[in-house]
Amino acid sequence: MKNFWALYQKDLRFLFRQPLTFVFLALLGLLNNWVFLNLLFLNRQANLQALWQNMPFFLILLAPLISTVIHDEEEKTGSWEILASLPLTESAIVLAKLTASLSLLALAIVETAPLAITVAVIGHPDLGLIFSGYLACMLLSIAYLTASFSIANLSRQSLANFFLGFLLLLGDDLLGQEFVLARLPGKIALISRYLSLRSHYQNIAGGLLTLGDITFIASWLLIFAILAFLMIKRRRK
Amino acid sequence: MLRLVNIDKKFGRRLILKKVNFEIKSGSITGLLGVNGAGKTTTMRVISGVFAADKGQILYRGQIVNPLDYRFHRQIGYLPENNPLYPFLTPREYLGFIGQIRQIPHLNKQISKLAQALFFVDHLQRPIHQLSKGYRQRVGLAATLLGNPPLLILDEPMAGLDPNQQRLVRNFISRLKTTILLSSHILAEVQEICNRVVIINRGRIASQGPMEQLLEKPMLKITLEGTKIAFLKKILKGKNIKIVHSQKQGKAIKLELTMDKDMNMLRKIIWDLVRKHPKWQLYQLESGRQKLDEIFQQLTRI
Repeated sequence: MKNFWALYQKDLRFLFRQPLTFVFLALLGLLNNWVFLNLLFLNRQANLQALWQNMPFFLILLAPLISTVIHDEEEKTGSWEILASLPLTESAIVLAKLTASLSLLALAIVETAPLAITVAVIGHPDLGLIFSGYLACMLLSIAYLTASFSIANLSRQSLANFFLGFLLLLGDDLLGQEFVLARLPGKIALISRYLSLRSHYQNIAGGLLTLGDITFIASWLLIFAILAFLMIKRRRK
Repeated sequence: MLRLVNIDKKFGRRLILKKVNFEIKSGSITGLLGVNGAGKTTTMRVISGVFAADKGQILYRGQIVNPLDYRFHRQIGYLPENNPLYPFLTPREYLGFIGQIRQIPHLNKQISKLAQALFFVDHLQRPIHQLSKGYRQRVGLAATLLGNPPLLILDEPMAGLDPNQQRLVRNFISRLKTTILLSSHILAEVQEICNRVVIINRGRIASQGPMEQLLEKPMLKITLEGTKIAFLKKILKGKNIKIVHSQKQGKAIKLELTMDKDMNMLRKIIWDLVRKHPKWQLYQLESGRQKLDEIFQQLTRI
């Protein structure tokens, strides 16, 4: 645990000492507020549905970006060699990098808190729905980060890793999009919907948390975390 | 203390280490020498657990160990080639990070002590990316020493440093009371601080042993006329004499010879040969000991 904490602090320092991180947080905050406020006054509904609808799009782009950057830092400086020679387990490395990346995404999500407060002030929103929306966002962030971090370890070509991660998440998102599902035959559409994180995300954001959602997200996390672990282990062969 | 037994390491189809066998004696400073690409860094990485050997065993204090096992990493302080550090951290943060992972007690005290010993106390709070190469090297060295690991693996610890900084690092290393394996291209320095040496060539161990023993080999410089190099090589090979260097100068041939036996024996063989061949004219016969760079050249010649 001590090892994890030291690694986590180091990775967090890396992320928060990049000027680009603050540019990204500012831009994301502005974009989210602008898009949401536009839709809020257009829909005239006191909820955060417009925000939750857009969030997956941001995360599909951001998760691979953060994962690639945090992985690339060790690659560029050659500090993998230091990590490999320290009394550390591969799982501590994976866990620390994922948690640091998640902290950054969590901060980006927390930036939307003024929107929730605005909605609470000007209307009478269902607070349970707001809470489940944030929970869904966090779960989606963890799932996207785990997948893109394991992809970021695939090769030493950061750009290729980023695009591969982005395409994987985009592909998975498309599996749950209504315009795709409408074109698929009944059973395949059902499977496609189940395989997409978006449908589970929508369920949770809508206040519905089923065993199917939990099982799928847990399996997704487990598979990609093991993949990331194996990728890091492979470096020592 | 540490013994490598028949270590093989391949990258793709290229065999980088071929049956590498050597021992690092407890309390010794062992110099690992070799030309670029000889396998020095790979050997150090295998010992430090950066990657696994394909074949062979590593014995630590008589026990077979798995260098990939993180518990074994506690026994080793490793300074990689080019000394990769995290540029966004300050030396204090970096050393704190390494110390926390190594679970070192009284960490702040140790950091201050090492910073004082290596003269970078004033730079503890500056980001590493702002430090000069010399200071970065000192920070890297301090990180390997945190927790006083019983075995230090230092890959080119003096590379890229100016002569003053080289002296500082060299003096510091030679004063350490621990077992050290270090690689360097500066042979004079290795000769000065190491008491054992391992020479690696094309992935194989070409020579190893105590420094004095290696430097004890007699060397004879002779200048001859009236014969040919090829003929001489044939005769001397039969007498177990190695030609370290040969050069034609007009009609004369300049040779540097060495053999495993003592100097008197070497001289006697040469005198006997000259007497046997009346056409040979011996102009110069100068005896001495081989220097490390001469041994190195001899063992690593392509």
